[in-house]
Amino acid sequence: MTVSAQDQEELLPEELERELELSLRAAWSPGAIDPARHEALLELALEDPLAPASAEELVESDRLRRALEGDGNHPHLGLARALAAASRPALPERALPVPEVPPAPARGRVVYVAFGAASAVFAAAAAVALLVGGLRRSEPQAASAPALIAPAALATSRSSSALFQEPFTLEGTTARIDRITSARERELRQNRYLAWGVR
Amino acid sequence: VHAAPSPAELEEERLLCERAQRGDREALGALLRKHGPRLYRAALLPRLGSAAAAEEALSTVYLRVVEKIDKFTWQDVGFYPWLRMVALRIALDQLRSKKREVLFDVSDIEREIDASEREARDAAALEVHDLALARGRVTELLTRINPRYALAVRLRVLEERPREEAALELGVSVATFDVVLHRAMAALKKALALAAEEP
Repeated sequence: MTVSAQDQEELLPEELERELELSLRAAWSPGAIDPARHEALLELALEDPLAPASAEELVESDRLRRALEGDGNHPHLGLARALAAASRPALPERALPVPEVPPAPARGRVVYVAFGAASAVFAAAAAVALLVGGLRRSEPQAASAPALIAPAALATSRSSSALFQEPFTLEGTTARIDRITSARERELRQNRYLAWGVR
Repeated sequence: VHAAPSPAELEEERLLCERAQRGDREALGALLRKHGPRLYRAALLPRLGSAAAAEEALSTVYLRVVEKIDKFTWQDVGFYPWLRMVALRIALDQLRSKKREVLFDVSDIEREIDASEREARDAAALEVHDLALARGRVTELLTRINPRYALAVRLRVLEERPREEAALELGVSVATFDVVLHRAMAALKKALALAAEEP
């Protein structure tokens, strides 16, 4: 038997046909859920993130915190780095702290900013410090290439209200801090590039 | 076979519900462990048409139950009818948001939710009802296509018989059987679309 062109047009695409077959089987003789999979779903739902911590959890959480801040190691650190790299591949240095690099001659000091509220404050302060101190350090370069460093183009310390159109609520604090940190870091980098004469 | 729960079973379940409503996750886990597999097999899988979709829905059901267990009011038919209602609403949302080839559509589930609100049936009765409803849906759909097509679908898709055996039963070559089945699925898809348009 051959399939005519007209029939061919009416036949289902393979994927659709497969879906329909699965649906028929699921309705006709539905299988049981895999017990291990069921337990995993249950565990996911029943886990209480706010349950009291055990002594071991307290120790381990402190170790993880320190590891994330660049002090020591933790089994979860690799995963945290992988997550950060996957979510922000363009800015890997932002997501997790990297040991400070010794300052390069006449290039200022590279500061890596971690996440969190402290980082937001630090980023803002660093922007001011760079504006004042960074320009002073790079005066020789500025003198030789004045057109490359336009003080008017540098970002200055200011309120973060311009970053938010929506009214603040109790939720989403971390997201707001992240947004401020991200904006200030970007400006800090721009300031540095301008001060170094690379942009 | 419909075995109604004994008064002792119901009392045990009522106590578990009370504990769960007071925040006892172990009790809630026991309830979900008891009814979850039945919910997956009888209520979710037949309506959603694939194990992946049914598991996703079950996971959402569990999270919703953890969140809403305080709203549950004990009925003499036990915990399952309420759990099934939560599941039907989630299945409804899933069907609305995803375009998959399934045998049940949004209006089928809406009708089922309405019916469930009107009558109180215990877990075993609902399981029997759901499984019969799904099989009835398949049988009804098969009556809408050519009997040869229906037989091909029944043999190969529902009973999962080898192609050679199915071809023999149909009295055709294996190659011809493949074509017949392919056409049968297209015919079934059309029947499904027509059924969805009916009031």
